[in-house]
Amino acid sequence: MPGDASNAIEVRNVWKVFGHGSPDEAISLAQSGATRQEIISRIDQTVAVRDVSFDVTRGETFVVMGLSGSGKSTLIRCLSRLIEPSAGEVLLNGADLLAMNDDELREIRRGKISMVFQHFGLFPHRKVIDNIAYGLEVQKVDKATRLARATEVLKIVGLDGWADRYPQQLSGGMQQRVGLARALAVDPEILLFDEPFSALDPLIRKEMQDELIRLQKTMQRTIIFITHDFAEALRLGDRIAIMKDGSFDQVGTPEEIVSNPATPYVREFVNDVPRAKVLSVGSVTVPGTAPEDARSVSASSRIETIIPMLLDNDEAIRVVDDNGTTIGVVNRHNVATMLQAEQL
Amino acid sequence: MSNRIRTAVAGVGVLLALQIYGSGGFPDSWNIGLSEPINSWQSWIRTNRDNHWLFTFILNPITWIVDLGLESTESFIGWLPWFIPPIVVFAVIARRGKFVMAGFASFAVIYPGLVGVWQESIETISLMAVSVGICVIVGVPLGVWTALNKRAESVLRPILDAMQTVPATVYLIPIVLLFGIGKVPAAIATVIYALPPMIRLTSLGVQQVPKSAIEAGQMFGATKRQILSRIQLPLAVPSIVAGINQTVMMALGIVVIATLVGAGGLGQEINQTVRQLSPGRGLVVSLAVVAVAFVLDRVSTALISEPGSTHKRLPRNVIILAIAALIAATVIGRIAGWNEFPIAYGTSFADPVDTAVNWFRDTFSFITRPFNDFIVRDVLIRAQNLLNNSLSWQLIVAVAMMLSYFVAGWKMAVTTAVGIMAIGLTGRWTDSVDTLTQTIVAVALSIVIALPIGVWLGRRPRIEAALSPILDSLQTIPPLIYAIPFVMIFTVGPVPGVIAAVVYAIPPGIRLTSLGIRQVNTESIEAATTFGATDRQVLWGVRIPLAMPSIILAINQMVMMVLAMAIIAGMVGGGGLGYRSIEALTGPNKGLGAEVGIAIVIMATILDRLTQATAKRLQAPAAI
Repeated sequence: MPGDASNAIEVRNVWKVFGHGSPDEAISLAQSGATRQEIISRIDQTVAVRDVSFDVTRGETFVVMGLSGSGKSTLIRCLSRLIEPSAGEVLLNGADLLAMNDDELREIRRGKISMVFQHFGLFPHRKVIDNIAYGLEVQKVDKATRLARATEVLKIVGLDGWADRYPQQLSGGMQQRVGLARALAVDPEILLFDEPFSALDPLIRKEMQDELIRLQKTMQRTIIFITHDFAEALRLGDRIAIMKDGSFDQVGTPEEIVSNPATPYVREFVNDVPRAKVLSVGSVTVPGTAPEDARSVSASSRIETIIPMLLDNDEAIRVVDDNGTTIGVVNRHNVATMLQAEQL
Repeated sequence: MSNRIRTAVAGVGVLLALQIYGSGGFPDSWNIGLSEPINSWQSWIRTNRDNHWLFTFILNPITWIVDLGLESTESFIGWLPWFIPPIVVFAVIARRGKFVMAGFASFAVIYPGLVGVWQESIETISLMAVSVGICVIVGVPLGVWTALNKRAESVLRPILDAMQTVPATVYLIPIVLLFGIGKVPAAIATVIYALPPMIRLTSLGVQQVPKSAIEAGQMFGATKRQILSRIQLPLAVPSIVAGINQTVMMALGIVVIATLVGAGGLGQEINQTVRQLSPGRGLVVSLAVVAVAFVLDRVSTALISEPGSTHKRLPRNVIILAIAALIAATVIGRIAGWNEFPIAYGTSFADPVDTAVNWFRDTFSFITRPFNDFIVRDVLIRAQNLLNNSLSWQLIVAVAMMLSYFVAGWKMAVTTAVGIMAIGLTGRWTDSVDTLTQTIVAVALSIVIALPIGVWLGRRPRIEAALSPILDSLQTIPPLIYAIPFVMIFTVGPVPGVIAAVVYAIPPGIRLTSLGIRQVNTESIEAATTFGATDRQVLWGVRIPLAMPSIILAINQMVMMVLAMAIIAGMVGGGGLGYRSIEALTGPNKGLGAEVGIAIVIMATILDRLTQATAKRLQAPAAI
């Protein structure tokens, strides 16, 4: 909800145009429907972010998924003003980030927002512990305090014992743990992740995703997470935005997107997704009643979790909501129909 | 097709007409008299030296400060007992755990004493230390500034390029005019010559800091100053160290030329050995120069700690103890009067070399004499006659234009024509022809020697690795030293200069060629091999064509290095622009220097652009 106090960050009509000169012409061209390519050939400017608006509520993980060139890295840099947006508003607790002067912006960055980088962005000339303490050092926190805090965070990300190494002596996954620890050390309200795991091996990537999910359960930060990996977006996101050519094609929960892709572009990603892993039992539930002794399952659990039960015998399974109220039943037929739709 | 033939016929017709109606040599009356303003400036300086504000408030204080630095460094090192410097050098390097290196370096400190040039090497070390110190003080801030400020970079870059192409003898002239003769102008000239790599590498180091590291700093709310001092500068340290090393090497390169304005020291000794025609003494002294370079290089590297290095720090009381011991040793040494270096074996190293070179000259004179005569009489003098008398200058300009047009297009053709005419207008046409013909001969010889060796080495990386220290040390020896044995063998004249230039130019030629051969994409070679190509076919059909841009760059480098040797050639009787620049520097006609400078810079620029353009043409088109 716009203007809602539970929103940690509200993004209103943000634009970013690259190229010489004023962005106004490019913006008005785009507003009258010109594509990115047409604008490049006409005035030699690139519209990287195109009229993007969204809200992120406190404690939510909001994933922006897009392929390279979609503008997602530019977008996340606009949110922290590492790149100056051409137009729009970014409201943090109602205050417009884009209207702030350098000092105010620095205060926000020191306390409220932190970022984890794609290629880690660690300082190779500082030990792991000094990398993690960097944010506190910039804030002129005294040495004993900041080292104590850094040691604490180091433990949280599972790297105790590595404090005195240099970043390049660590593996990629460990380096990104340092990056994560460095971001967490300043205790930020909002964490920005710029494709943090894309430089890692698939197995390490999965491990880091699990780690993030585990951490997020206890810390409940507001997270904006950029990725080009749709599966990663589905795993991590409370909500996902699919970005293409600078604007959002669709915004929704993983289930909404998978069960109801809004554009052909989104459908292309969805087609490769094993639905049983994403869709909830609720989405295949049909009205009906089950016998008293029937097995029951929560509507919010994933379909894949009931497959063993369905294979076990053909009785209908009762579906209950979070309060334990029965909302319908599900049987082999329903699930098989859904899975067949996936093949088409 | 007929169109083409028509164009060719018309072209030949124009050339013939130019030859028939043009005149040989460049008309003297067209000399624009560039030297006049310089000479009148010189007399203005002479009359105003004592009272103009430029001198009393700017140049004299600079002289005073630099002089103070030189004097105090020199007298301090001279005051120390002779065994203190090697111990300090050993300690500084050994602190990093490199004991073998420390041993070599402290031997290098003693070496000049052993061969009897202790005092001279102290003079040179002081000159270099002060010059390099000034370079660091001036160069690092300038480098940071150019890295952070695009406009500053666009202003400084062409100046830096010019500083490196203008021959040292040429810009020594204004320095001599402004600062007179002595150690201070020598130090200032060294600073100007050695400053560019300091600025460039600092700037490069700051620019190469990963963007994400800077963004991380910004995201944590670091101020610009904090980002510079805590992230950019520390990460640029390796590059800055490389800059200091480069600067030391450059400063060393000018040591000999700086003696022309009174630098004294080892360079002076080398100059004398050329006059005495003693290659043995020359070798011994030039090894002293190399030793000085080596020590300065190692010490400066050891003093700056690289980020991320994990060497152990010595406990404080050990350091205090060591310093106390040093002071005690100094006091005892002073009391005992051990400040002079005790022994000198100079002649026992030099004499055998002299004998060997003499033997070589006498034994092989049946080869060297005819070779000398052939190069001078049949190649150089004929070529000079051709360019000065037989061909009209209009024809030369037209041919050069056509050549440039085919290699690099219209722009280059116009640049070449304007450049050649400008050389003529300076009045240095004949001297330029001298230098050009010598350059062409030297480059041709270098190509014949360097390219086959480079191609051969390119496929034998192990042999190349074994040879690389030799190639390296060939590049650290002051260029004049190369010339000495050849002067003895070939007598004074253009040939020793040409040969010295060849020896000077071939190491980078070999390097770049073999690099090009080695870097050829393995898949292309594998593909050729699977189609059944023989080794020879792979070499001529794949390796060499793909390495061609690199080979042309090797030629380009060799041209540049040969031109840089033009000055040295002048010192050993090569004539041409090199001789004129020395005449200008040491004689009354300082304005001549400006003419020579302009002529040589134009020549260098044209040759440089032409070879670069050739390399670009030969490059396989890049992926889209």
